[in-house]
Amino acid sequence: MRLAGNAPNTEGASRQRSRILRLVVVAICLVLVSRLGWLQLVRGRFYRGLSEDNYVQGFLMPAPRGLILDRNGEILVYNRTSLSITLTRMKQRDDALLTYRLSDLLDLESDFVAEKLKEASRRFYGNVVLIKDANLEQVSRVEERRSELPGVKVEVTAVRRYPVASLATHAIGYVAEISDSELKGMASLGYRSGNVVGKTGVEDRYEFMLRGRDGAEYWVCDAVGRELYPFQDGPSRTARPGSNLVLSLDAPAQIAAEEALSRYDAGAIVAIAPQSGEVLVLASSPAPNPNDLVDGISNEEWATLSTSPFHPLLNRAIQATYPPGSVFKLITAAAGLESRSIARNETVTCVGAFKYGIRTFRCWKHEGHGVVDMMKGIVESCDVYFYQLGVRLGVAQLMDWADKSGIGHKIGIDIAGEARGNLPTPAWYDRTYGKRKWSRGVVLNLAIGQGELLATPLQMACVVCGIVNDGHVYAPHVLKRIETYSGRVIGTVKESVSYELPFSHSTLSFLRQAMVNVVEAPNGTAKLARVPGIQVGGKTGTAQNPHGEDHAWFVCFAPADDPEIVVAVLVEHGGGGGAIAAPIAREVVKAYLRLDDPEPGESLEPHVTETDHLVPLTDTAVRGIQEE
Amino acid sequence: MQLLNRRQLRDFDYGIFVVTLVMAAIGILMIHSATYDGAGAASTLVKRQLIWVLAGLLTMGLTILISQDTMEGLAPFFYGIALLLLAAVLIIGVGKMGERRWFELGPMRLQPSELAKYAVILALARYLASRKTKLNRPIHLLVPLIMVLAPTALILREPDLGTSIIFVLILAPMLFWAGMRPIYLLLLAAPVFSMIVAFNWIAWSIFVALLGWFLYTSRMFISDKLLIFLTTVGMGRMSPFLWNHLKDYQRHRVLAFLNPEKYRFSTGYQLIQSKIAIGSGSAFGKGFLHGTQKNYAFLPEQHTDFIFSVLAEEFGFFGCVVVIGLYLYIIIRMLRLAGLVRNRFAGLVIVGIASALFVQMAVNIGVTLGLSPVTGMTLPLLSYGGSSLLVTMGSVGIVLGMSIRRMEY
Repeated sequence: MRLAGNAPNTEGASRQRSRILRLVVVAICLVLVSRLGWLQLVRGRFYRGLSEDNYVQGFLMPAPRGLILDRNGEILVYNRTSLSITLTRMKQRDDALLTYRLSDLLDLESDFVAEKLKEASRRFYGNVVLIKDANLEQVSRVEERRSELPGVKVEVTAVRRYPVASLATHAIGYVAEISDSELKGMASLGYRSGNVVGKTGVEDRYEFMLRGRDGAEYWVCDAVGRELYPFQDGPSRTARPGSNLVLSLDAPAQIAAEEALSRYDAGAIVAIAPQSGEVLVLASSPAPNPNDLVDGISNEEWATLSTSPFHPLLNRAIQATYPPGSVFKLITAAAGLESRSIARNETVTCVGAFKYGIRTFRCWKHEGHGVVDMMKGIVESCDVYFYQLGVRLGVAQLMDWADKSGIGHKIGIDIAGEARGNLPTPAWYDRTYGKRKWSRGVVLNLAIGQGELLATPLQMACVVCGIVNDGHVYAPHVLKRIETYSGRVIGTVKESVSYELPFSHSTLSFLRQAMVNVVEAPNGTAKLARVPGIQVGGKTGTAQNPHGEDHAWFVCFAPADDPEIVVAVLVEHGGGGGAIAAPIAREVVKAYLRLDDPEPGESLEPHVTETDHLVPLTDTAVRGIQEE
Repeated sequence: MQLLNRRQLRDFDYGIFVVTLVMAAIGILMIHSATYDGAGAASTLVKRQLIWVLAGLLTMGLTILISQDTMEGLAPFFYGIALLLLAAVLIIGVGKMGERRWFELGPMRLQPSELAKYAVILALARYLASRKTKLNRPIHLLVPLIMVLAPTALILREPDLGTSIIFVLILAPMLFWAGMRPIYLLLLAAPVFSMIVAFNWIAWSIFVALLGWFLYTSRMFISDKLLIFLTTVGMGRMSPFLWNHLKDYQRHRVLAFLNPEKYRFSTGYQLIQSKIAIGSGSAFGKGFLHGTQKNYAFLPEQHTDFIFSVLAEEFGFFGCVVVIGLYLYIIIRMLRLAGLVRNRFAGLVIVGIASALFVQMAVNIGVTLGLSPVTGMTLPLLSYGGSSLLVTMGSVGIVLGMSIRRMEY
């Protein structure tokens, strides 16, 4: 085989070589043409789509979140306009140069700007906020030099604003940027990173109503991202604002409640309209300022909030549980009547203490109440009467009635996080301490609402609602109705019965009468709850707790003949229910019924001094189990 | 030198002439589209290109008149001037990002590498046409290799990898035309192939083993066998070293070609955008002046290296096939003419010019289609650029001159 060498160089040979070269040229051209055919004919549609993506940019038009109003139309939450400077992903951009320009122009740390740009480059839709709430100077600086700042925009956004900071914070809740874990569950609902969502309260519960539907606009853009003109064929749509929520809360009563609570370290107030279940007041103190939470708080601030000894993030009205104290005597009394363990006029003699087995249980009134029937037992809150009744009922029966009264259950308010409380049935004692390892004597403490029995302020308010409402307890709800942004009513919350108190008419009307006497009778424990002009019914409670001062309880309803409002007040470590909690309830009732303060020098004043020394005595005396 | 007689008028290749003018006209239209601002007025670039086309026609007229003997005689002189200019541009030339590619003469830019292409073709043709040249010994190939590698080395220093590649790709068809057997050409390509496979140790070992076995069994001078084998091994071993001495952007281009998605924000951006422009043109295109990719400035270098993408976007598959068909027409006609001319030098020159035209066309389009790394090569006759247009039309003039002298020995 001869490889190298000149081929014969004739005319025929050159024509032959010419043919070979032409063949090679045609073959290579065919490769080019077939590649063209692949790109343009086979994949043409795909690349057509890509080229539209390239020059059409979608812009999200966020829907304004719905307003939140109180029952009188007072605005509790609105959106304020905020200008922010944002960064969008851009394919061809000198990020280093842009970082330099932005940090120079806006006086920012270049590391911070670089970090934000990096974040923007990873985000394929929407943008990254560089400066939230930019001031006018920053905005005008950016606008002036916009052509040098590709992908930098000034955007008008609506930011949630709570005009009266902390008002009804725990009922309304707050909004903040969606977290990664929330996004996982909500991405299919159209949520995107950077969206603002309700975190607690009705902001969270009615998120889908408040949210509205984001709009979209499509613009033809050039390679540096400048919008040239609207893209007609895009799926543009206008934003639909979220619906407005009209809450059943009454702002004046809410304000009065929070003002009263603010005098103490911590506490909660629930007020409900018993005929409908509308929640009129839902207050928990202390409360965070939701505006701070909306703007996003630093980790340290968050740590301070969540580790504060007073737990401002805790909604005490529905999430915290306390022994109900003497308020529970209403249930004990009703249980006694219903089970026929005792008759109304049957009397018990109180000598200031009650011997059960080898232990002596004291009444708060050491000298004793003397002969006590059920009315006097409730009005004067005689412990010995209820010790005896408790013994007759037994743990199982008493807890069964408590169970039917709603203790230990979630009531079903339209705010997340409700606690059940604790209902210590015999089975619970068996589980907790072991079978037979607990004394039947616990029933004495349970009968006066002490011990392991725990209830939320909401549960106690609901019990009173049932008492004044012929046993019907309507499901409490914070939302009253939903309106469109233009004010058309879309839906109204219908009252629905959550549960029935298992007590007869006569028992309930007896309890109502007893509660009126608690406030109105000269020997009642809650004379401080009196409101001039109307009759109020109530019951005090002082819950002892091992960690310090007693919790003050007071539940009431007013006006007594046709109750419009039921209030439950709890003041943590406040002391006596009659002295501390009752006057707070009075403030709430007065504010809700729009009753002016009585003239100074009314007959009420002397009572105050008289009961003032009496009531603390009452409650500090209820010390539960005292070993002899 | 005489003016055209009747036979010469008959032999004049009107086809090549007319299609060249048509291509230049298409080029002006595409440059207009690529630089169109939407206001209706033609950009200054279009006007400039128009002037360049007229100047090109003038050059064409001049080159037609030069006889092939004169050309053969002046070939070494041209070659020397080209080398001098290439050396000079390294000293006083200008370019983007520290490159030194062209002379700036007032508003004009002259790129000596464009001229050097044709100087090399003429010099090669003269050497290969000589009866004294024997292509059966590799040692004799050293002269054409040096003739090609000297300007290539200078252009690589500019640096301009793309243009330097053309020189190597022109050499092969000219050697083939001069009578070298294809299998021997393949052996010449062995060192280049060796450089590429050297990045995979196993593939390279297999390749070297195969080559060794092939050389061992073939009947060649032992010295030639050794020369081929040693250069192949040597080039392969040097390859990674050379790779490391490439400029960052050159390495980037190769890597981006191999994986455009990964480099989509830097070098790969051009490739992806070009592919989108071409693909979105579909069968019939988006219409003249209606390309969205180029309208909104997504296409880089759209009036120069990526003019074909603009064409493909606005006129679609059929427009592209027509343009490629026109190129093919010119090149096929040139190659046919090369087989007809009686003068051996003329035949070699025509093959060289046709090859230069074809290589530039194929590589440029291949780049826009993502078939080749970005080289920075212009599309002859269509791209904006004075030097390129001038010398391309001049080279067509040379071919046309040879067409009328096809009967001369």
